[in-house]
Amino acid sequence: MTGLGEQILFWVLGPISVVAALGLLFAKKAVHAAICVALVMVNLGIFYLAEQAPFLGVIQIFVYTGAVMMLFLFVVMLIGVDSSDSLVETLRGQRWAALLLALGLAVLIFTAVGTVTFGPMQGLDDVNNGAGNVSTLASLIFGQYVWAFEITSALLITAAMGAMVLAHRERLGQRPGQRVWAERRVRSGRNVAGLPAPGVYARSNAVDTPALLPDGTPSELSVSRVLVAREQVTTPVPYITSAEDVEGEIEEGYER
Amino acid sequence: MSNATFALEALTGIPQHLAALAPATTDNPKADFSDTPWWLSLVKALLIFVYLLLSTLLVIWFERRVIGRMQQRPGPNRTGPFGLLQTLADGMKLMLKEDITPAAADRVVYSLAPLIAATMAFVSFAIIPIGPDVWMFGHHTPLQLTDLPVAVLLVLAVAGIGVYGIVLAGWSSGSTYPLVGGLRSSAQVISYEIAMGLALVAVFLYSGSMSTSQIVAAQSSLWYILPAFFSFVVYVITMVGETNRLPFDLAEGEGELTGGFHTEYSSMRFAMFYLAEYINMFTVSALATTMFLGGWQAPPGIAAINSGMFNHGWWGILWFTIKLWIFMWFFVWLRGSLPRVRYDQFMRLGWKFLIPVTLAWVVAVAFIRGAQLGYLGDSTVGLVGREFPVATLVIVGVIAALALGATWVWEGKQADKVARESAPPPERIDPYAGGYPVPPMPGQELVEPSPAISGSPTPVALKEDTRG
Amino acid sequence: MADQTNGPDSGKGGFLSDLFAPVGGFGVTFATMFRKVETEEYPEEKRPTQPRYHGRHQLNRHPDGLEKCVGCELCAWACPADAIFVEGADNTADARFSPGERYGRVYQINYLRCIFCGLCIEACPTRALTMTNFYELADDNRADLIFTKEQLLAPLLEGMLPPPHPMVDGMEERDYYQGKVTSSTPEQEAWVRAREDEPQDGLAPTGDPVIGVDTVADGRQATRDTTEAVRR
Repeated sequence: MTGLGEQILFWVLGPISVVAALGLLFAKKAVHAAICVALVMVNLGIFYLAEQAPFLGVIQIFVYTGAVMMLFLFVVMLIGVDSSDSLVETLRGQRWAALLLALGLAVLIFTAVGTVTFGPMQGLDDVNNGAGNVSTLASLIFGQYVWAFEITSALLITAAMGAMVLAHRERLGQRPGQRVWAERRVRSGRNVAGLPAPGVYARSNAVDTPALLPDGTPSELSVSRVLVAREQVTTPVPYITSAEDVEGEIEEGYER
Repeated sequence: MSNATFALEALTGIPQHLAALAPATTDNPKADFSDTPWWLSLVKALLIFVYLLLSTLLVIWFERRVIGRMQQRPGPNRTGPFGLLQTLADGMKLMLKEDITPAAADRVVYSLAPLIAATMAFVSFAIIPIGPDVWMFGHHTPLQLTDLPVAVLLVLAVAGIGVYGIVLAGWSSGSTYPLVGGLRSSAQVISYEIAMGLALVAVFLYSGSMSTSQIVAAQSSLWYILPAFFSFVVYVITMVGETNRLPFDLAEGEGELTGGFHTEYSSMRFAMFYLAEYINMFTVSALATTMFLGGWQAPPGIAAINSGMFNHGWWGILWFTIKLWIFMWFFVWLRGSLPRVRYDQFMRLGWKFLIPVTLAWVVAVAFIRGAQLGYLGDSTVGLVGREFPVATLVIVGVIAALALGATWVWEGKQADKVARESAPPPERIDPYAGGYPVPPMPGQELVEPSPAISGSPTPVALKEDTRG
Repeated sequence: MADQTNGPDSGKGGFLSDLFAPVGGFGVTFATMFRKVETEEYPEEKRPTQPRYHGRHQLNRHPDGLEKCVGCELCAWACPADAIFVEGADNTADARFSPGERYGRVYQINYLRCIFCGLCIEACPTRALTMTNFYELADDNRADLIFTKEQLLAPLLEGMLPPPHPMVDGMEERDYYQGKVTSSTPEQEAWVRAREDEPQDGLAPTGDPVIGVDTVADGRQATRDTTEAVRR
């Protein structure tokens, strides 16, 4: 059997990985799910390290968790501030069907893997103790499997360039300057004087408090769209009522 | 060998030395951990932890005093003799401050982020060799917590995880400034990680291994700062970028982002970020020391005394610490001298200059090493009484020629640009070309608007066109 | 090309000097490290003030101990910050604090309002109010920074007697003003000693709260020329 250290490692990190994977499924916020995935990947890296594949383990952490998941996190954090997730099922009964099929798949995998018998552990000692893990891997990558790796890397580069080209927005005309914007506004007749500024009250002038229209209602145009999407807009009611309180006190003073 | 011989040989005989730098036969670590029981590893881990914390206390004081002197003022000198207890006082203040969590913050991640940042900073130090083999508690063990065949990659990987701390801190604060600051900072760190890794590839090519103990052993005759000088320069630039220090501290620029990713943090959590920043500085400096300055080995002159007496046992810590603090002083010097770089300039530097140039350097080093190791032929030529391998000379010559050619081309382009900018104005102009009448400059001739008197619509049409 | 701007010199020299131009800044910071530090290490080294420094105010006395302040309130009217509060009272035969008819019974300067402009000194007709060179006035509450008359009176010097006591025989206010009185006379001393046995409970015979207190011997010092904190 494996040594005591490896057993402890497995039985501590294994449940953590499973919990993190479940967290990916059931997390409410996308960022939490991304963090759970990162945790799973780090655990995978540690397992590779424990299985005498240090290069693979460290590269798993370096590339996958450090770069790929970071990219995921960026996207999740930046995009989606304006939109909200819709949890409405488009297919009827989708959830139950998915659960059933997942259960079936699990049964299949467990029976298939459970009936496998493993021979004695070989480990990578003979590989690692010779020229070393990295050198042996390098001689495989650049020797026996050089075509596979080079073609795969060419494919990846092509994919990256394709994504760049497809997402690239070429500016077809001149960048609209101040004058052009003003002309457009006047021609459309909307917000000719520009959007209203956020509310300035006696006791606050933060950007998240809307300004008041002449009839006393808050103006939605005066706060940024992003704040509305994030639901961080406050109401101006306390400032209005406090102003009214002060006015009331002044009147009371006059009467006294 | 004596000082003078070393200098002479380093300057004139670099190819000779490089030939002597045969790669390790295996990339497994040289350090022997067979006589290290688990509790001794724990003791070593504790010692490293204490060493790092003490160094942080000292370096904060050191930085404030040195920056003060660079600005012709004393720096803190009230708390304790020479202000030495200033860091302690700051630490106490941070501990006793109120720990604020913003209402819109994601509580779990908000508390988790500084932990990630601080822990990863410490973990990177596990593979740094602080000294050679010593006798500790009756066991013969290297002064290194552990070593791997991919030790340096581990440092980079752990730094990548540390970035998670920053970006999660920015996001979980629930407000715009920290979010933008966190994203900026992580983009910065990731971009410069690539250039850092590439700069280190040259060192791996020279030493034949990524294990830190092997790299230190391979520098016993010549420190890599000389053959891999370009890598050293690039590494120093990227290490300043990795640690968010001036001139690359735009993620914390107070004028732009209030506090960046740590705006909303106070008390101990802020102390964790602060600590993580300084420990990161120590880690990258320790890595630079190990990769380029021979790690714990004594400088060449002192190493020769008494056939290497100062290169054994616990002396390694002294040399290592001295080299580490030289880098620290350099960090502080940078902070005192340079203004902050703008973000787009900084990204352009990283992606459009550092990475291509370092790639080219790696290719050059690969060719040089290939020539030395005999992949391009074994013939040698005798010059000045010594044997020089032909292939190396040819490769070095080709690279030098390419560099000179690139410089010449670049110079030409600069001269062209200057000539273009200072070009004299055209001799004939149409004054209504821009839509508004422009008076002619001295020496210019006006193009008369053709049938202006007859009222032809041509000039008017021109005006409409140019307005777009 | 007639007017060409001075670009970098062609050749290796120009390239190198351009390459290493930013390093010049490093040289500056490095050299600054070895320059003498100009910081004054206050409070160990205190730079002495100029002779006419606008420091804390002082109510002066005549050489025989009588206060110069006549309670005219001109300083209060001159003050642009409304920092001075004066109430005058009559000098009686039993209780005389200044030569002439009136004296300043209540005199307070609020150092939270005072802007140290010196207009009050320019307004004082008797040169009772002057400014010392004392500037260490920091404190942490409002009450302690309103200085009362005892705290502002000049200390009693040699030959001065604490008021109340009558003027020197035969002298009038004009003579005091012209500096003809140089010291207290034995008659004044006798008058003061005769009334020494009367209760020193802080009340003058007229019931005024301020009497001549020997401010130097007493703990309540009028001039704070020491660095120790004053506990009140």
